[in-house]
Amino acid sequence: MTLLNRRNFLGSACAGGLATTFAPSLSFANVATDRRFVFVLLRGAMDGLHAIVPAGDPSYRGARGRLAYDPADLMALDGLFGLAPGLSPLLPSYRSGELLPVQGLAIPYRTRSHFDAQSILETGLDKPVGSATGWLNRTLEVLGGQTASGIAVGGPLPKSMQGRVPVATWSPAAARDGDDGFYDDLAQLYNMDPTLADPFTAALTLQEQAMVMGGGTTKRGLAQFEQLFTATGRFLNAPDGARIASLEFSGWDTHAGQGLKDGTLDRRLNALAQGLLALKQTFSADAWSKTVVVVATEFGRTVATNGSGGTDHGTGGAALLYGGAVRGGRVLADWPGLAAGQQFEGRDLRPTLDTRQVLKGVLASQFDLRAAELDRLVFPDSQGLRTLDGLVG
Amino acid sequence: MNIDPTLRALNRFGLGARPGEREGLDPQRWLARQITPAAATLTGPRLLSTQAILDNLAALRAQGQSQESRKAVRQAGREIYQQEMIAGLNHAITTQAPFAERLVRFWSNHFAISVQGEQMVTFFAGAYEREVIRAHVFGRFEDMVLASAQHPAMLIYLDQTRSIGPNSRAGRNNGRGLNENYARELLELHTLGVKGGYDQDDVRELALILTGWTVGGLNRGARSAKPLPYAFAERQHEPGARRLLGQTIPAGGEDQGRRAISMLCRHPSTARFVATKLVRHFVDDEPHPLDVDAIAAVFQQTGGNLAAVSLALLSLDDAFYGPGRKFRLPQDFMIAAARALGLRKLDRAAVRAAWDMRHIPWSPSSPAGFSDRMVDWADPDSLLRRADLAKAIAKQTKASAPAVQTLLRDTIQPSNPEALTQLLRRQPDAESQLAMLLASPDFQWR
Repeated sequence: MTLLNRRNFLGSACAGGLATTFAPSLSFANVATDRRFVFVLLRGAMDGLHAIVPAGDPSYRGARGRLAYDPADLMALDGLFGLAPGLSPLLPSYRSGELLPVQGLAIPYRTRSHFDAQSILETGLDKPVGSATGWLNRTLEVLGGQTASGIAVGGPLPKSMQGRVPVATWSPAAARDGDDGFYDDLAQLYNMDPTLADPFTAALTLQEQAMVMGGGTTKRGLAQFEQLFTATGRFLNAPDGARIASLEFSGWDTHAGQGLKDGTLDRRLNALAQGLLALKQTFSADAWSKTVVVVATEFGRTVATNGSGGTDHGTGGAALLYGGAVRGGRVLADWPGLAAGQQFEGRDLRPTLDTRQVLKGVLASQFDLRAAELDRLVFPDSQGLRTLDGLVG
Repeated sequence: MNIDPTLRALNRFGLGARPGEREGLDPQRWLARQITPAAATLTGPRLLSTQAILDNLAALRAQGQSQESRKAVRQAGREIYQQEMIAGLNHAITTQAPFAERLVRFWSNHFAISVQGEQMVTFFAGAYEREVIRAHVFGRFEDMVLASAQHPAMLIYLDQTRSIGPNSRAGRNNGRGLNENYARELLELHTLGVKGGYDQDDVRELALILTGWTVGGLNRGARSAKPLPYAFAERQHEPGARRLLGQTIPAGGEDQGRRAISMLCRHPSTARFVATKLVRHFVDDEPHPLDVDAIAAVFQQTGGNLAAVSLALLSLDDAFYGPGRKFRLPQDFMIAAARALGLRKLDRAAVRAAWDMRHIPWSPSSPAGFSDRMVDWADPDSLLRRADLAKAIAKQTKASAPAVQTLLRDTIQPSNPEALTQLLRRQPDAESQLAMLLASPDFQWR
């Protein structure tokens, strides 16, 4: 479909009103794009300085204190930054240009409340508005509101996915193996319900698609990463599958005992890296070449180590862009420095980039969105905010 | 299909029919009899008052600010919250006044507080529901608004305790300022509604009016003071008269806020907003304007008398005879299943199930509360979770369970009785039959 035709198609889909039911058999039919986007939210504020480590900053060791890495433990990315040891599985991806670490970004509103910050990150607004819809859902809406082209994996429907477009959901549950008869019988009843037939069929289809690794039984702890990423990959890789997925992981609020190499946070970063690799492995080469994953968190953490060997809520943080469509192999940062006078409010990494600039940049290239759609619908009132280009392509 | 008004009374207005209950039931009378304050109360030896919780909390905090004691505080909050959730669910599955309970749950969600994002709410959520919602569910709307405005759960959840008049003594001294969060939600979510005819200036003026409304003994300067659920702190209150919704409210300290709240409650937009939500809750996701008019008129004429408003709901023919369906919210599904099977007690597993279905008491993701629309709850994963829960509940009942034929007759009105009966017959055992009935789409609607 040419661009012009696609526009017309999207236009008419919008004019026809938004669908309120799920697509039959979850043939995520009418998905007007073969490009994939995954938004991974690390809830609790992942310590960006511990992931994309600015070991080359002259103030790093002094400002960081006990949690400063031994440079020998890091994988050098450039003269300034090194990758945390736990993220080392991603080093080949960095070298092949599929990984683009971003440093020093923040939401547009200064708060150190997890709740407010997550809300802003997920609604895509510049202040907390509790009842607003999410920017991922609004992206689906702009893409034409096709039914069930979005899927939330692993937890409750996150705020980013809430809105007018119905979104599919999946999470691993206690094994339903051996119960096929029950659910199949039940499907016969649901098929007679005009409203519930589609989502129930979708549920069974997703369940089948995800039947990987222990039949979908809930994994606990760090094993969740690989499981949920793999399931996400299966959904997105299907030719008629979802195109936009969200998933989330908590456990990043490292106020105490954060550790260095192989410490608490490093092991979690490692699970994240393994999860991202597992995601890639589920994709065909073609699908992967059209995929962008954004890993983000609500804010960064304090530059200095606190009294409990952890870090407290901060401001500027880090993100990862990963995928076959990413133009990586470099670190994206307008580095403000870590010296006392360079810190934000004398304690945090000073933000030099608005998270929305990155998200807008990704969505613009990935889904061919117009400036008006991005600035007004997806990220309202953000026309003054420059969209970063060259992130994807 | 002939719609059975007794099942509508038990399911649409109640929390789910129990075997034998529909026989000889006069739907209107049965519901109307529940409109009495006594029907909405909930007491229990372990259910503490707000004051008692505050006193316990003060004692805990007196032990210092070490990491250990902060942990102890968090733990205490979680325990209270857990106990309150289980007490509330157990009450719901056993109550003889399920209509009263539905109204409690409706208003509790209307004046939503949430433990999400605010750990302190874990302490107060249950007490808030008892002292603010249950106490006024058949009283005056205005009294409920006022009670919520003066309860720690709301004051803390919506940052009202942080709001300081910029020109108040406290504001001039420490440079802290106004927080509009509560004032905005009071207008948008509790009274006038989002298109109710107010603007940003009204939000700010209302926020200034309410400065000083806070929890007693909370602020550093007053640490020695006895903790109180509510106190008016004159030194945080913005002096002067204010303009709200085109009217001037003279300076008057705490009374300025009371007058403002009274004005909001009498605003016609409030009657309309509340009526729309009630009709959506009991009749249809897309409320019919005539139904809304009828309820709004009673609300307005009676000055927000909630007993009268509750009674008026029973005259909405659409609810008893209309073809519209309402989708049970996850907790309501769980409660209805437990009632159908005659369970007397739920435990932590029920709380986990509510968690799996994303409908945990007092934890909506926003101050707007949980959605009341089917489209927000009938997502694929949630439907499978319901089936999982139906299986788990059926497994738990064993020999004491009623026969599936009884449930078929007494708890639902199947849309396709033949197909359902056939499938039930095909199940290998009684347990699977019960599970199938509870998991069936018919049981998801009321």
